[in-house]
Amino acid sequence: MTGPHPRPGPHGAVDPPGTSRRAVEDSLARLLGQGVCVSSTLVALGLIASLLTSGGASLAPAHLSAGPVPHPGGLAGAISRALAGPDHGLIVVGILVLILTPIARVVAAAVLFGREGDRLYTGLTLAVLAVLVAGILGSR
Amino acid sequence: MAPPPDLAAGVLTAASGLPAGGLLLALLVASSVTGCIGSLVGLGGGVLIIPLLTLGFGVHIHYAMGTSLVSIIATSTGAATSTLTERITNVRIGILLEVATTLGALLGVALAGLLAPATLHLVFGLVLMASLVPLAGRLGEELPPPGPPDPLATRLGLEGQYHDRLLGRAVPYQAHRVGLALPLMLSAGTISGMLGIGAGAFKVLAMDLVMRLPLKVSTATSNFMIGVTAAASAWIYLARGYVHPLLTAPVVLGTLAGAALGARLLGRLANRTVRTIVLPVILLVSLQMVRRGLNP
Repeated sequence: MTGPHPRPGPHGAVDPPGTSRRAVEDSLARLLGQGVCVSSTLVALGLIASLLTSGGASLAPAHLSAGPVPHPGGLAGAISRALAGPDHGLIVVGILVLILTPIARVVAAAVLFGREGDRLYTGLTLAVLAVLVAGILGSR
Repeated sequence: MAPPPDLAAGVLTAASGLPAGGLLLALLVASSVTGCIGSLVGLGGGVLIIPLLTLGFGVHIHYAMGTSLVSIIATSTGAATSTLTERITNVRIGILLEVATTLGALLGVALAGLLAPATLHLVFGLVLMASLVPLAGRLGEELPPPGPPDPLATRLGLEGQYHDRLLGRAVPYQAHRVGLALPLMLSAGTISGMLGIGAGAFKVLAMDLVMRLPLKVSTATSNFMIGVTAAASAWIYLARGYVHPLLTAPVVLGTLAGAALGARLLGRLANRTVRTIVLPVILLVSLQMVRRGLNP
């Protein structure tokens, strides 16, 4: 290991080969699995509720082929309109959980690399997070 | 930008004339197939889901792009759980390349609003077609031959090892030409933002041809990355009203199920088998999209 940032790994002498790398991978896998579970449950429940109440009226071909109508208010407006829309609240929350899951994975990776003392990858992960946040703020 | 109102109405097919229940079932089944294929080859399924929705179901391109971005996140997240546990995904390589792809995605979304849907179709089709050439060139290869070590890759710790179920042994590997891969990833991110696709084809090809990683590591790591790239763009599409909840719901559920299946298959299939299945599918889709771009 000749790098400036010592970290345990397959070529390191700190831990048995790959131990900490495996711990990071397992933690991230667990987090992503939980995101999938919560999101798919909410979307499925919301879909059933939607069909029971409105019979899927907004899936009419004319509506789907017309496309979205521009609205003011940006992201917050779009989310609050979708939540207030006919019976779509649960679906929207499920979709939001799904979109947030990879972002939560980036935060978790930064924490895990930080705990490992791997400054290079903590920094790279935080850089990814900064661009994500910039993107979300830019969509307002 | 106001899209022509008759854009998708002209190509309404039998599928879109189904009652809501039948339409939902068709969307569930179709998206589970695209999710499975997407997770196998690291393309996210955006290359398949956009033409499926626009050409097959008569959905407006903007709704198709919003749904596609959410389904890319579903493919990435649904597949990552099992490819991480099976050690096929390389987290370090993924995070390093994500810095470039997320920056590119932001740039791409800013450019997408400037282009008409027909132009997007044409660009999308040509991009796909171009990606077929190197894909076809690697059809017979199971593992890349060993190359000279890259000092930058060594410094960044971009090596790994996974257990290949098919070969029945551990496959050690190291990344090459990292300095060339990073600008390629920036371009891949820009394309993904512009077209509402994962642009996984570019990411997989860059990892396969430039970084010379084993194909399974490339597709799994591409899958791991594209969720984050798509998440960066999804908020902007959400704000524009491109994500139709009732259309996106069955696509999310189908994609998650298909991606989980595809990720399990990935560890068990030969690389050439995967490429052989996917190549004609992408060719067909690229031809459809180019035709649509030329005759809006």
